[in-house]
Amino acid sequence: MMKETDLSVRSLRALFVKVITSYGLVAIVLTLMLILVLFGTLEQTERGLYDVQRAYFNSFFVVHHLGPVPIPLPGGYLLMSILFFNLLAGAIIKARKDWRRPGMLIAHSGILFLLLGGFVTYYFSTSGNMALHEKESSDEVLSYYDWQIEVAKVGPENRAEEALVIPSADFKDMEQDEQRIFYSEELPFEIVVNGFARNSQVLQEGALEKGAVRSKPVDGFFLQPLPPENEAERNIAGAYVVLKEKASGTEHEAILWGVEQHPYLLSVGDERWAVHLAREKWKVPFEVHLDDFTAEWHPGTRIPRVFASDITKTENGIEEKIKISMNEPLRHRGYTFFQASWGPEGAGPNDRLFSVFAVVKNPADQWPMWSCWIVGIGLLIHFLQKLLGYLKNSRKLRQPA
Amino acid sequence: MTHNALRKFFAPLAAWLLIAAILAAPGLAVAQDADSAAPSATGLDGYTPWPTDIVELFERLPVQDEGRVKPFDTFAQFRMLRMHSKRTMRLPVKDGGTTETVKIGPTEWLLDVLFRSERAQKYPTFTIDDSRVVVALGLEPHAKKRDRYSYLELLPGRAKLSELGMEYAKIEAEERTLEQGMLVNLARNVSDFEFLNNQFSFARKGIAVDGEGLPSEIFGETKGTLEVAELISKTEKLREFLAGDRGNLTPAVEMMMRQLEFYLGSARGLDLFPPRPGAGEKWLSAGEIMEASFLDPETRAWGLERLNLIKALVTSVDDEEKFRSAATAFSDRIESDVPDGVDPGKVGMEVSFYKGKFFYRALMLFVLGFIFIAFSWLAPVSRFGKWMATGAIVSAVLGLVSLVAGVVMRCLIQNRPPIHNLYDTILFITGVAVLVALFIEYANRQRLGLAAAVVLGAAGMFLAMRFEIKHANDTMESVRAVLDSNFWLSTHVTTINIGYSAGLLAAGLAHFYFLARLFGARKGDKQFYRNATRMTYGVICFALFFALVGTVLGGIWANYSWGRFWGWDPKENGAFMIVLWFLVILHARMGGYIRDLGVNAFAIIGGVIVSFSWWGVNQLGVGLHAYGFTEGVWPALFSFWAFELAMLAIPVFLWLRAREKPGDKVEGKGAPA
Repeated sequence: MMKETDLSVRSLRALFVKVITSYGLVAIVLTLMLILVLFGTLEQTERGLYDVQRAYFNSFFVVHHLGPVPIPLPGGYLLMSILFFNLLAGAIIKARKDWRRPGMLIAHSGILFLLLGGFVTYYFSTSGNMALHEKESSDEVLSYYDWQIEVAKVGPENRAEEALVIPSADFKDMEQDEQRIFYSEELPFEIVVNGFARNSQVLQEGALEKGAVRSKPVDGFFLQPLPPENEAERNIAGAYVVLKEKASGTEHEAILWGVEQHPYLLSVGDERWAVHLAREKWKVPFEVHLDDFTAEWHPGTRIPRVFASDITKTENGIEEKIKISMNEPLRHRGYTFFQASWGPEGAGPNDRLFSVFAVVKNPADQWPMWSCWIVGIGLLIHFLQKLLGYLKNSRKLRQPA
Repeated sequence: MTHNALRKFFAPLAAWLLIAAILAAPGLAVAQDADSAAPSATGLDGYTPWPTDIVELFERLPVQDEGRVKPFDTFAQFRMLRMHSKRTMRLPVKDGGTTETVKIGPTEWLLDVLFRSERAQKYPTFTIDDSRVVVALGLEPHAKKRDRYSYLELLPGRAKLSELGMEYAKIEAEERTLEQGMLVNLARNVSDFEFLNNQFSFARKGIAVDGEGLPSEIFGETKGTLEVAELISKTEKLREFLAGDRGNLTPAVEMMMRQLEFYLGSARGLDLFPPRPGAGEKWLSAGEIMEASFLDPETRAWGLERLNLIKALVTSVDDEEKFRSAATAFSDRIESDVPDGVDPGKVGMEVSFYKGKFFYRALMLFVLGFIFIAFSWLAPVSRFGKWMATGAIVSAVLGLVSLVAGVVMRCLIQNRPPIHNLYDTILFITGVAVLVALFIEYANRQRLGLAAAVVLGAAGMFLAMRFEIKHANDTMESVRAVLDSNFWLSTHVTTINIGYSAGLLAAGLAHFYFLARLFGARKGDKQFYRNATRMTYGVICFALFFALVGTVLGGIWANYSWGRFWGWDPKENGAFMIVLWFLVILHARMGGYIRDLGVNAFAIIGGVIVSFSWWGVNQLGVGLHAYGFTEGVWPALFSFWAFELAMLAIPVFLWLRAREKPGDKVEGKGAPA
């Protein structure tokens, strides 16, 4: 009995190894990947890249609708994971002793490394942007997509003290009709968040027909959820919050909206508190000052020729002058600053300009370049071997046509 | 900007006058011209050719257009292509009782439009692909559905054309119907023509005044015509006069100002004059010179000198010697004004490039090569067949040399690597495909590589030619900041296009394989077919190498320039799909799931994927690479895909036949390469 079990386990394991290392599996996974990429590309004409990326490529399963026909497909994660193990088992472990084909071994190792780089980038990289007007400084980077709720006590001279933060991860998955309660011993009130919308606008009561809006407006305004923008960074999040005083149980209802210039202010006893919905932010370990921004166009056209920011980087009191332009980013302490855009649109020669930097921190930043070298060398060795063999055979076989 | 500045300057003039003048501008002078010229569809009353030396002088004249300095001839070519869909124009000229055809080139055409403006309005300048467009303008169409119309023929429908053009321009290009697209283009072309046609009207006609009401303290004795230069030279006095006494805005003054506004607005779009030293990089048109001369007293003498050069040209147009002398003076002035950063040698080289017709010659040579190879198939092993094959090789090699020479000249003129836009990719991809195909021919002498070389060469050159006509924009345009020279970008673009090229070549070889099988060529010669598959497979490996490395290099560039390696952008996805498909072919072949038929059939699908990545994704209108939307690409792509789908019926048929007749198999075993 024991022996039979052993045998079946062994044969199952053998079957698993056979399947996971097979060419057939590679061909199927790659074909499915191709179909997924094709559908994911076409879908971008209907939905934004951000949503498509999450639904098709950063997922385990996806259902694509080809007209009225739903087509279930494995998502990018699942396919990449299978491919990773297939590569590891088939092309590296199984092919380990086949030293007659060094090129293939090298090339597959490079692909494996590339996939690994993809995983590292996905899980460990952060990105955002820093917008600076000329003569402004900052060390804060704002998220493109994520929003946080900031709560701060208002100190003397109306200055906010250090803020408590509800991070995006704690509420961004909320449904429209869902509510969550946030509690902190440091606050004299609880925060109830409901009706969170990734993209929204604030309208005056009566702007839409009855029934199309939430029944309870706040101070004559209500929050209207909007479909997500195709360019996800254009979304303006919004939420209703109820601030419930711990001592008295008094409730204060407010609308938080991402583009509001001023926070919601609440007085509890002698204290004043500010509550604000803002883009998530993180700090870089140095300060950037925008000295000057230059925009040039090809003469007589609106075809951009040069965009460049002259900045001063200050770290530990040491200043350094640097120019950041298209294709010439600043790389420092693991952070990279790219010239992303500028404004305001249609600015004249005397207008004060602002410059926007895309800021990225990615531990696997240079991995694709290394893997490119590995794959390139591997394929070159392999195909040259094959080409030489082919030419040798052709010479033998050459005959008059 | 222009009119605002002027309005400030001539503050006493009411705003309505300005707006009315701008709106009326193009039509006004034309209406004046139209009075003296009736439409003529049957022929022109004679044609005096421009002397060759004058044409050559203008051809090489530098002008600034779309952000770069280029020859007058290049400017003329692309304007002519937009309006006429050809680089030559045939003029029907009456000679006694008969009508002869006179052929003119772009520079001659533009000289006519500029200097013989009334006559040029009768030329069959505008190509209209569908006569419904003419009917939509309320005009009587020609008998032929696609025909050429003169400006004067379209003039009665001008108002309707503006109305429809503006209405349809609001619709996104990809959403317009064919007819709407044609109307938008026609409206733009007619407007462009009017600007060119009225470019020198200020010098030709001056400002007509009736004499009554013009202040004699400024203009002296009244006369029928006032020169614009004279008006400019009296700017300060006029300004004082207008500022001092508004009551003196007589109808004569109003009419004078209105005509001046017209000239300032209409003499645009042809930037012939290098700027004054220290005045930026933008070259100036005659209208901009007039404006600068009005506004800036320090520019006045400089501007008047240049306006007088135009006056000399315009007034001597009927006297060959005088015109030659005026043209030489004009050209000398421009050449001496050319700023240091502009290399006149490049302008000359560009003229030589277009005169060399490298790509047209390459097309002819590839077609000749195809004729040779087709004859060689009639009797493959005979001496005749061998001579024909040699002829095909010579033609293909010469075609490739001509193609490469053209590409090299473009690189030298622009001082940058070979690929910067969609047109460049056509040239590059064709060149690489022909080169690799000829290498295959060298390696195995089966005439399949040779056939693929001439067919792909001819197809690529034909595509380049059609694209240039359809696109009708300068193919050496200025480069956007983000695409400016960068090591990773240059290597990525070059490598990925080699991958595209090889993918298409593999598909091309697969077509020959199936056609040979279908028509029973070399029947029973299993080795021939196995060799053919080995070729296809080898080219797929080559394509995979470049597509894979090129895709990763693209990611490296994106990471270097924008901070992300991979963004699932449509163009990136297109390249990734090519890589995936070639990997599928290789692994399916290694696993023995596909053999000769499968490899070749899959290679054809590979060609379809390459075409989607190369042309299709640009048409989706999304993503960072959506730079290349071109009207009319979808129908061509769908036709190509339908053809390829039909082609795939051959392997299905062969596979079914092989199942019925096992002896008919030519399938190889194991991996072929």
